[in-house]
Amino acid sequence: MRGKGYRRVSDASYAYLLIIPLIIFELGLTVYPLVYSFWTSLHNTNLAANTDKYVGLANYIHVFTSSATLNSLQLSLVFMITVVISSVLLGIGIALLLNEEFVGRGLVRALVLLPWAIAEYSCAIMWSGIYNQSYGFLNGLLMQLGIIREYTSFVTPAYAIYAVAIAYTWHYTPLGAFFFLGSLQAVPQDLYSQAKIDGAKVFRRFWVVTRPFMRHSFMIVAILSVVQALQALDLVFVMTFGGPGVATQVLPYLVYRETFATMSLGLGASLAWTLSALIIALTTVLFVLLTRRR
Amino acid sequence: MSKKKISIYVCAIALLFWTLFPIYTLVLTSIEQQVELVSAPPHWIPESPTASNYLQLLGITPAVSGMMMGTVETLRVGLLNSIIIALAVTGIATLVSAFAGFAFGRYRFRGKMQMLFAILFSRLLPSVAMIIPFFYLFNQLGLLATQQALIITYLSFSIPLATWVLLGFFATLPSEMIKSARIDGCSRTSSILRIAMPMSRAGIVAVAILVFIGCWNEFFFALMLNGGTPAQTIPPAVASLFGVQGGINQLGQPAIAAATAISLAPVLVLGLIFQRYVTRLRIVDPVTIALELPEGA
Repeated sequence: MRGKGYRRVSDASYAYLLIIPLIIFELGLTVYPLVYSFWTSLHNTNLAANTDKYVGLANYIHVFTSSATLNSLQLSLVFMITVVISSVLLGIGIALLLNEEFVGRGLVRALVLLPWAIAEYSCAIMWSGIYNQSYGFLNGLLMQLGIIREYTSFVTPAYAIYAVAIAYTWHYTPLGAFFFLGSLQAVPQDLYSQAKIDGAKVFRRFWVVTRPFMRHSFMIVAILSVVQALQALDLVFVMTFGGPGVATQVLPYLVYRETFATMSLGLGASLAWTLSALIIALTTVLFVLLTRRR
Repeated sequence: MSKKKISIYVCAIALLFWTLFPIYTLVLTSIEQQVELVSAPPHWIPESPTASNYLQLLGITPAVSGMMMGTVETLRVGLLNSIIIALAVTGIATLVSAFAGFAFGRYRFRGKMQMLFAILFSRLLPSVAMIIPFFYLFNQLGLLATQQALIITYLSFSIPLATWVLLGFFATLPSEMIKSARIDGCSRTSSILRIAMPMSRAGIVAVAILVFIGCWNEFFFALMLNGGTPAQTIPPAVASLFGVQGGINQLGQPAIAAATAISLAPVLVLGLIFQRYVTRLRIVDPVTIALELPEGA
């Protein structure tokens, strides 16, 4: 009936037709802003000083030679490594647990995802109350358990970055855990029984039977958490605003501060590009490493 | 009970404690009086709980102070803006990415891999890298401090994400039904609308929830583009009560906690629903797409 007119269009052209809206959005909202921000990064654009002159790579040279960048890079790496390791390990643990049969599993599964649905800025408000040094809930809990003798401050220059990383891990882990759980559910049960008959112990069963099924989700979760942890800004923004001092001034926060504290958009853009390049490079390396054996 | 069973329950309880403790502290704070809140050690069960913060913030009872009155209005406007923006983005992004995801998941065409990598690439850029061009762009277009500004911004994140998730869903649909519909004289478009979309209902619902939660929770762009204006959404509204950037909060922690809890309610409900779908999402990577995905629609 209607077929005739439609069939003259080849499958490939039809596919292009379907993705046209996507391409328009991508060009307008990703490619154009990127080109613009790269252009800005080559200028000394400053809204406060009202300057806008081409300066070549001067902004990038400033970024690479500034000690603030180095400090932020270190903090970002510490934050990222802490978040990635703890959320991957915890995520695998949670997935293995939720894959076991026990009374109330459905309820636990439902509740476990909740922290992921809670926005970072709300996490910041929540965890500020937990870490608070004069009445905080963590202080109260540790005191009642007899672990500490008097209320202490957790958000100190030395530990603040870990305090923030723990809050972020709390928020971020559930999503990865559910990706792992999804891959666990694809493991055929008779493989386990067979391994059991063969006398394999728990850890060996995990290593030989389960692990191959988790390789793909492991790659997805590892890459996602690296990207997310390096992009994370809201938590620091609301909870510590980079402090105390510069103890939690991770790279995204430094970009924000450089850009908007002095309105130097050019400098901010070059720093933003440096951060983006770091994320892209790390992701590419991870992707190649994790898919190499296929 | 066997040793294994016992250790499973111990782990489950530890997991529940880790998950719920921070949420509990927020709820506890919101129903305590300021005096009781600052007592040390904390009262884990409040002696004189009160719902008055919730009742005032939701406009059920009149606000007791001028500051509270302002807060009620801020929240009301923020919730309204958030609902409008999140719904608009969810609708448009789901529609655009359902078709794009179908094309990527089921057709082979030139430039497909490059486009998929470009989409992934756009997800790697941090929001601080995008804020400068967006700010400039919206300033030029006169769209700063409007709902449109945030709708456009959120579409730029949501469409790639939604396309990527739906692509995996469409790619794993069984081909037979779509093919036989085509043989029966169904056009490609109606085979998508009548066969493929209904078969992927779970994936589409999951993606819509994912996009909605993402929009509802977005903070940075909401603050930089619309913060403090009549087009402000709920995240900067709540964060400003808490005192962003070292500002002092004068409202008191219980009221701030209650406002936070109210802003979280919709996404917590959606999170509970989403949990039923999340393990069925198949997140694919570009190599899998190139090597394994089926052909034809």
